[in-house]
Amino acid sequence: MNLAVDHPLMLLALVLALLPLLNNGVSESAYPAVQVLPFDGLSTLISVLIKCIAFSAIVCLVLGLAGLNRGEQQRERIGYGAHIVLLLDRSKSMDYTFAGKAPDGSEESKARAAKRLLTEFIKGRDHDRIGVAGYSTSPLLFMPLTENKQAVLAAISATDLPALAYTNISKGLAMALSFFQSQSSQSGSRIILLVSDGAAVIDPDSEAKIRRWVKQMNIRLYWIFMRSQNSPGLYEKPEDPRDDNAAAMPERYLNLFFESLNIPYKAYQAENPDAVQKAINDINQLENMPLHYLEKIPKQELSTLCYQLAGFFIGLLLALKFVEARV
Amino acid sequence: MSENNIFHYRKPAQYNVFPGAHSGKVIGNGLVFNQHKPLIAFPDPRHLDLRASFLNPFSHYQVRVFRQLSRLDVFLLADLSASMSFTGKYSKKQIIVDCLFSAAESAHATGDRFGFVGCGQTLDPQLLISPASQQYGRVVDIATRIKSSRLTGRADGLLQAANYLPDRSALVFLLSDFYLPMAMVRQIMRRLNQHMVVPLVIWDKQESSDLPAWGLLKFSDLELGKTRTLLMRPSLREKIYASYLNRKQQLRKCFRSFGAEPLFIEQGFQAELISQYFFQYATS
Repeated sequence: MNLAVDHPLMLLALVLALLPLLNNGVSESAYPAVQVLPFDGLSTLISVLIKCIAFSAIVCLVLGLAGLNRGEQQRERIGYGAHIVLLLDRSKSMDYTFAGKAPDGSEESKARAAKRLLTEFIKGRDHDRIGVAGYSTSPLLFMPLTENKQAVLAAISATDLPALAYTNISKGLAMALSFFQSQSSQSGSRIILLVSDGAAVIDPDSEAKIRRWVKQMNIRLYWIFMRSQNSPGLYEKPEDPRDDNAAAMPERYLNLFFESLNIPYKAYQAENPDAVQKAINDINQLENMPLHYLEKIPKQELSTLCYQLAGFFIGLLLALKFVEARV
Repeated sequence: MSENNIFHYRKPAQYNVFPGAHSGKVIGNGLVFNQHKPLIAFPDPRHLDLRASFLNPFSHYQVRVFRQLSRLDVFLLADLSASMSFTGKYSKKQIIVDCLFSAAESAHATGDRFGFVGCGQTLDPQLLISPASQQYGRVVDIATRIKSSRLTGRADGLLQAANYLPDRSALVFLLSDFYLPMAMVRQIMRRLNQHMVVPLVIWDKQESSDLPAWGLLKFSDLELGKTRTLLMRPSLREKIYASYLNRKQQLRKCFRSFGAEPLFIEQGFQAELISQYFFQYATS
């Protein structure tokens, strides 16, 4: 319970709360001799009570004005799971089926299949912190790492929108890595789950950066490659050695690049939704390590409560004003 | 001023040589027989008493000697402390003024001399009427002065008032609300011991019995600056009334110990009240 205020200067007005201690505010009438009046316990009690009520009313008002809140808090939690960043390919080709056609109703698109299967995957993992990012021409931030399952599911379902143009995987990876950058301590495993149906060339600048970050952050990388029919696979070697370059065979070279990172890495080449499902089940089993993290409890506004209390106290005072007797 | 503004009072004037309306001990022309004296001692043959002379064993001529009716000094000592500015059903200030006029007129009508001492925190020479001055204008002047002034302070002046009274026994009306400490009341009475004191206790029903039965009240004291908050209810009202009755009893006891009977004025000033008082208690 650490209380905080938005406008600390306002607290100076708390001095005003001392005013009712000097005068209880009941309208006065002149009297020649109060010493003749007998002592009355109930009256004294009421007088003290009025002062207390007025004091509390002013304190509540000032605290309300100062914006009292229960400051942002963190709760330490331990669970079994991992930090997972889902990096989704939002390029145009994801809107086609595995057969490389526009979906006609009998078959679902790759993006749809990925969404469906990932949703199930997320539902099955209770203690993970999951972030969602996408990439196309530019990286897209969907949801930072969070333990809030509903937010993640919503983010996943938002990826269903019609896709954009190109595949800029290096920027997407950079964004996925940036999710981990803000984490101070390493606990649980850090996973990037890349779901894509194609690859692109990684420029040398990004390559260096990614190599460095991946090492620093101790990342595990899984790549679910949704292979369309007739597209080159991850492990295919071109027949013509002249075609053996990154521009012609980006998938093969990306795979090679990932392998060269010297991190736990696994690629799944899926040609249909069932294969994707299998890959996901695989990951589900692999990644279950103790996870130590701080759950954030957002700051809680208490000024409304203060105003309500102040209103209540002022109402009481008003009621007392109405029962005043006129001499 | 109406006719009934004049009240009647009685008091033996002890040794005042000036003729007036009150019985006294001075020998002179009068109707009250005092004693027989030898003609040689009181050579007034008109008052020769032949029967007494005949019965006198020494055959001295005896003369009847009478007591003279004498003049009296009447004083009004008014408490002009802040508590006297209270206005309940009746304004206490107005009561002071009424009483001043009434006493002055009554004294003049009876042929007595009237003096006034206004006692605030200190004695203000502006608010004094010496009995030597028999001008009614002075009374009117002081009445307007009291009416227009704001009363402040406490009634400490009452203790010094005795210094302004004559050595001869006078009739002193002591006008106050007597919300003073009992010790102070006693001290005042001790200082006025040689005079005949009539304490006029000015109270108001609104202070004691006419309080509201229910509700929240806050009283601020006119003199002390203290405040009291009261949650009025019938039982408390009873308690306050009882407290006033108790106070009344205490005052009565205190005054009686000095041989004075207080007159409680709670319904505004009426001259008849004082007349009645004298018919009931005062002995001549």
